[in-house]
Amino acid sequence: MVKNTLPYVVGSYGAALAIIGILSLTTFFRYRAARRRLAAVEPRGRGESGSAAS
Amino acid sequence: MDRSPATDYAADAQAAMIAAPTSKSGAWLHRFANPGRFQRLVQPLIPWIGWSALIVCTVGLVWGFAFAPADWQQGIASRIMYVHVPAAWVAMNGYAALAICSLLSIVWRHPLADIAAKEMGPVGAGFTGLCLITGSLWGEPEWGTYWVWDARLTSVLILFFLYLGHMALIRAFDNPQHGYRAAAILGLVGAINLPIIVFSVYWWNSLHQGNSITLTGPSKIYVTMLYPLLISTLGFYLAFIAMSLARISSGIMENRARALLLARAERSGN
Repeated sequence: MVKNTLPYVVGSYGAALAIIGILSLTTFFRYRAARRRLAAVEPRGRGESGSAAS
Repeated sequence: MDRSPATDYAADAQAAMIAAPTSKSGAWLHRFANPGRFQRLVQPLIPWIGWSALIVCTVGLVWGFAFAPADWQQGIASRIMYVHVPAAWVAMNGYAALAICSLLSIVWRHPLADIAAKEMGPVGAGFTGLCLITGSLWGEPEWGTYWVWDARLTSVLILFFLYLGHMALIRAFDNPQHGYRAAAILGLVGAINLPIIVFSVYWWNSLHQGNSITLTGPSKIYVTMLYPLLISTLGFYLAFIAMSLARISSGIMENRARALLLARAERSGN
């Protein structure tokens, strides 16, 4: 009997969407929060990218 | 473990802000990779790389899932290849990048290398986990089991644990600099696992198939399957690069914000 492999394929693509999606979203929200936090505390005229860090 | 916020912030701020060369050989590295220059160079690129990753991943995965031909032996289970193989390559090369950062950290004590290694760890662990999950989902219909203690599978599982260990070690010390040093040593020593993963299918009897694509020889995969695989691989690499760069940039901004707040608190305390 031939095994139905479609659930395994769908599961694999679902895992890819879930893992990469979660990583991407957490990265995006952290990046946005870091930009806002730095913009709030950085003295004016120094930019918000941390360019004066070095 | 009891952590002192002041110590934590001061050490992190030092890591983010000090970029003084420690040797002549490392001077060029510090000139081209200090946090400020990194931010100016990378921040405009992050959205472009991120959107490119999304588009290329979508094209590669949709092509692989819906349009690529099924394998004559494995049937549609072979479509798992378009997720599993790119995830495996990114997992291994991500660790290679982490090991290079560890080397830069140990040899030149470069603060950006420490932050880069720290931020690449979770992304690499995610792709390694994806590789293991999709490998199991491929193994069940093809081998009759989700897992065997095969050399290739076991060495990739060790890679996953190395990523987790690196992440844990960085955060395990009161002084972040001690965590960076210990994790850098682990990152560098763990690189020995990479050739073991690659050659495991040749050194030991393995259920896992050998390499179908090599840099030196012709591909064993027909072009109708090779193209979506390569596109999917490019998309996964772009996703890894975009996420790593964004996380490194976030880490630098967070450290700078902490340093500014600490300096402000010290001024108000005097």
